[in-house]
Amino acid sequence: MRFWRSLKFWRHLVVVGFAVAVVVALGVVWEHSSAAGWITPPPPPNAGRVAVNGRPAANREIRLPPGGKLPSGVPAGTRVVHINQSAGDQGMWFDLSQVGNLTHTVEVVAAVMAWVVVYDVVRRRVRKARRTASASSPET
Amino acid sequence: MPMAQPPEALKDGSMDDTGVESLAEVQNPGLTRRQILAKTRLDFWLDAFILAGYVFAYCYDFTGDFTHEWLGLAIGVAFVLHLTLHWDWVLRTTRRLLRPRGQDKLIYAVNLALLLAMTLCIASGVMISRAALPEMGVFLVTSTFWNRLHILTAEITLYLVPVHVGLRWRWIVAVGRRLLTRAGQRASR
Repeated sequence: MRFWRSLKFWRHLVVVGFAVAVVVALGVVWEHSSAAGWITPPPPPNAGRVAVNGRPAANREIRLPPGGKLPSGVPAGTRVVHINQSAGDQGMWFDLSQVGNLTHTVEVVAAVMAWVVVYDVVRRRVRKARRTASASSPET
Repeated sequence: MPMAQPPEALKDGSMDDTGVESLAEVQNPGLTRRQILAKTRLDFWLDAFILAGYVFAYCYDFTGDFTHEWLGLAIGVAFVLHLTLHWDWVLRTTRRLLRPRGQDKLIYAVNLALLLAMTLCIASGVMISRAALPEMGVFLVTSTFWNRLHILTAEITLYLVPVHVGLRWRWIVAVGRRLLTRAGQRASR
């Protein structure tokens, strides 16, 4: 029994992995389609970009840590961004001066959640009242 | 060993999940009461981690790169586990959607949108990683598209997560009461 249950879990995990892979593949297709322009602003004209396979290569970038070597197979024209760990670019600890940011996010989440709960309570009460009314009304 | 029986009210697959273990009972009719409690507990704490983790990870200025990215990866793992544990619900509800008066269409639509938004958010986060992936020796060639997609999907997910949680508030209150209060813990023994 336990064997079959665990088998079911793994089977579901594989299916979920497949579903996630499909969504990621859709994202990749979106990136390479003209619809990518919906969220990416068009590059400014005469920006001095080198086109690779018909796409502006300067849109591509690779991020390297200090001392990191450029891997092979990187398309020509790819911008190399060196991550500067010492300049606090890769902050490791919480920045308490930004706690207002966290508070605001919690407020937004709590407000949306409260709205949904109130909506659900009202909807259930209306449905219950309607059911009660139809049950108690005399048959014609 | 005594087997938990699915409650009558839920045999048709309706989603009135006010009972603490009712969903788990319907999904796993062969489980014992103790196993159902363990599964419900896992569900509850996993969901709590995803909610709290997402709120923290969203506040990028507060957490910094390192925590933001590793927390994002952990949420990704928890998200896949959450989906796996609830895959039975997905199958059951998908079948019911074909009925003309199928219930849970709103919940299904929210969950589907959340699946798309959260998956793309985590995938785009991996693509633009500056801390976690380079630390593991992985360097991905990325583009501004993934950066924009990450911001957009993070915003959408921020509003969908509380809607998803809010639609299940009765289950959360019932399980939370049992897990977090002494009286509830005694009752579940």
